[in-house]
Amino acid sequence: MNSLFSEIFGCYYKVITEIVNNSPLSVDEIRNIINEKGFAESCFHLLPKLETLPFIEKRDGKYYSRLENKIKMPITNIEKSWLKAISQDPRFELFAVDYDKSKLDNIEPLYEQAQFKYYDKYSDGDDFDNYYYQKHFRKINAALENTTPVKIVYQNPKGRITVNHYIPVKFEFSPKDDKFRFFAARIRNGKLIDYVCLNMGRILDVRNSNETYKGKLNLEPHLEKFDCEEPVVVEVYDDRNAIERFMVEFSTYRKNSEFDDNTQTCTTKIYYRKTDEIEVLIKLLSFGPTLKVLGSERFLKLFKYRIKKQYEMIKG
Amino acid sequence: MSEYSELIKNFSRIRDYMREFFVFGFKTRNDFNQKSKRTYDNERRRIENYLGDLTKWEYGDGGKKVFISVDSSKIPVNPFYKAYKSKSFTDNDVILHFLILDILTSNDRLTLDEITDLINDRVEFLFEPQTIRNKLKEYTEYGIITATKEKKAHYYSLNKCYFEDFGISNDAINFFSEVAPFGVVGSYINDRIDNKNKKFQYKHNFIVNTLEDNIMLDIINAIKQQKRVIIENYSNRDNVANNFNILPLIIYVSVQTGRRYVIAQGRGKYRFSVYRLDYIKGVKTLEKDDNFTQLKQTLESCFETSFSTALVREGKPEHFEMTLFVNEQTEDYIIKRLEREGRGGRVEKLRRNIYKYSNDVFDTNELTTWIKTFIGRVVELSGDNKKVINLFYDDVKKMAEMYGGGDE
Repeated sequence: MNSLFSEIFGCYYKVITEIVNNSPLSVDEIRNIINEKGFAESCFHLLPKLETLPFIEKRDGKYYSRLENKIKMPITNIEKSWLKAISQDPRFELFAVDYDKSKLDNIEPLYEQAQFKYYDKYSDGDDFDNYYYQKHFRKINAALENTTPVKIVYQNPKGRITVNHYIPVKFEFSPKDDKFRFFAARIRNGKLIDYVCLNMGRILDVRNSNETYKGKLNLEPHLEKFDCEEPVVVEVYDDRNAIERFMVEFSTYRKNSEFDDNTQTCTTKIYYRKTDEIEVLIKLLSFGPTLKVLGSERFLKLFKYRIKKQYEMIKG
Repeated sequence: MSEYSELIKNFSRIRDYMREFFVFGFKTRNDFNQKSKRTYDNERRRIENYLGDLTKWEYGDGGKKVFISVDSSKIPVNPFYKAYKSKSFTDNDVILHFLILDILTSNDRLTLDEITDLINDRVEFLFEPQTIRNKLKEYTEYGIITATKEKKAHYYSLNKCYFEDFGISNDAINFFSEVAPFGVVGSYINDRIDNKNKKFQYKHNFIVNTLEDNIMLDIINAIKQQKRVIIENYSNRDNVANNFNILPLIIYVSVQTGRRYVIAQGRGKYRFSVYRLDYIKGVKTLEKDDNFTQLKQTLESCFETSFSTALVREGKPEHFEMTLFVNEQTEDYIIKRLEREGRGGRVEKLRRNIYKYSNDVFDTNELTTWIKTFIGRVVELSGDNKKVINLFYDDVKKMAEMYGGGDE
């Protein structure tokens, strides 16, 4: 049975498992479980269903499991095959601390790496096989897990080497860049200096740190500072399949679109991180005259500047 | 008229609506005219139920539009996995699931008759042995149950193997469930072990692609077995469904544009054909094709002279050159861009601040979108395909006109 779409992986089975394994439960407690783990209207559909199940008994206002055991579903074949497949991924070693390879020996992988080709992935991705890269990743991961500072020797893009103390807060991975970055709080003399984003591949060494930091870490407000103040607004024309191409390509961004039936154009607002502005700009340039940037004013100025410069180069 | 249910039997319809709401997000109820209004209302309601606050709506000139608004770099888990967790089931399915797992937890191994007796002791009606046998067979195929034969009797036991037995870290499951193919399987494991992602976020992650994973799994299985398939191919562009009998060779993924393809033995004059996975609505597996290995080898050799999906043309590759202005003092990142994005192209310095990128590809047309990302610094384009080169210059002129002659 190799299907991805099955009730045994479904949300309702998961909720019922939770209910029988934690019984007896009151209606309110069950509602809380359903609201937390189910879909928005699951309470309405699932609650009456519970009373019809022969392995659940309602008495004295509580729901009791009539099962003899707690339910723990074994791992399925497709899950094992997926584990085997990911174990063959070059990035898997980054996480393979206590892993016993022999446990997956006789399992057929769900897919092989060679069955996929990522043809436009950047060629300067991280060296996941590198012993030191793996060592650094694991140390950063452990520091992130335990919220402990580490001393990092880092080479910035201009080649300058810095030594600072950080508490790693979150990893970020990009399949396009094929790189790990991580956000970290920079600590000095027990104080939080700022949050930074470091490239895993630029780390030269990671050591234990004698720094301490007792305060709270909250990355979100720092990241929110990078949200664009105004979205870029573009008008996309029904030419060279541009609307479809544009919509798929920009589907990783938060956006809001309107389609005008009369002009067959689509107007879209794209919300982006300020640090990604150039990336958005060149992505939009790649669409050529099949779209027009309408705003923001600042973004439009940047866009026009490039076109003007190019036009002048053509005119000679 | 059937009653509304939160769960669904068939994945394909919710897949279509979710994709429309997320990728396009501008269509109103009236635009979904292939199915009834009631179907639209039900699918919209389900998607709202599954995705909660990520589903938004707005009134515009054409009416109320529903859309899924999400920045994929800000979410810990792919929300579309929820669609895979919405499969409907019968009363018998759910009763047998829990009773079989419970009974086989208490008993090391049992025959069908013993299981049937124990189940029927616990229910007010009687299950036929055949119904229970079917469920046991299904669960054996899932790998949840092991069936063994001893003398003439079949014994069933719980396959007591759990994720924890493999020693694989929860971090690995969190990471690969978002970046590896068929990541939804990782999310099933995460559900079971109550593992939540707090460590990772993902940039340039095309989360909507998971909606084609069912289709991709059928194709991957065919590739493994070197079998042909019939695909039901439906393109939004021409609104036409076609069935193609193909020999799939590889899944071809663009991490920049979010498109995923299957490359197959070609039709007509083309050596290889390329099909978008999101256009495929169904897959039917056929017989093994002995040409697989040889075709795969030929395909591999085509990759060297392909910039994107043009793996189809015979003959000599086209030469292409792009000369760029790069301020060496401040813009070395442009040189790095040429090297890492150039897909086998050569980068050389011609003189101070002037660099040349050159490549030999089947179809220069494939480079056009990439070339335009360098608008503002292209000194010269040259090569065998004049049409593509002229198109670039024409496009720049058009853009200059669009933005007021570039004079602002």
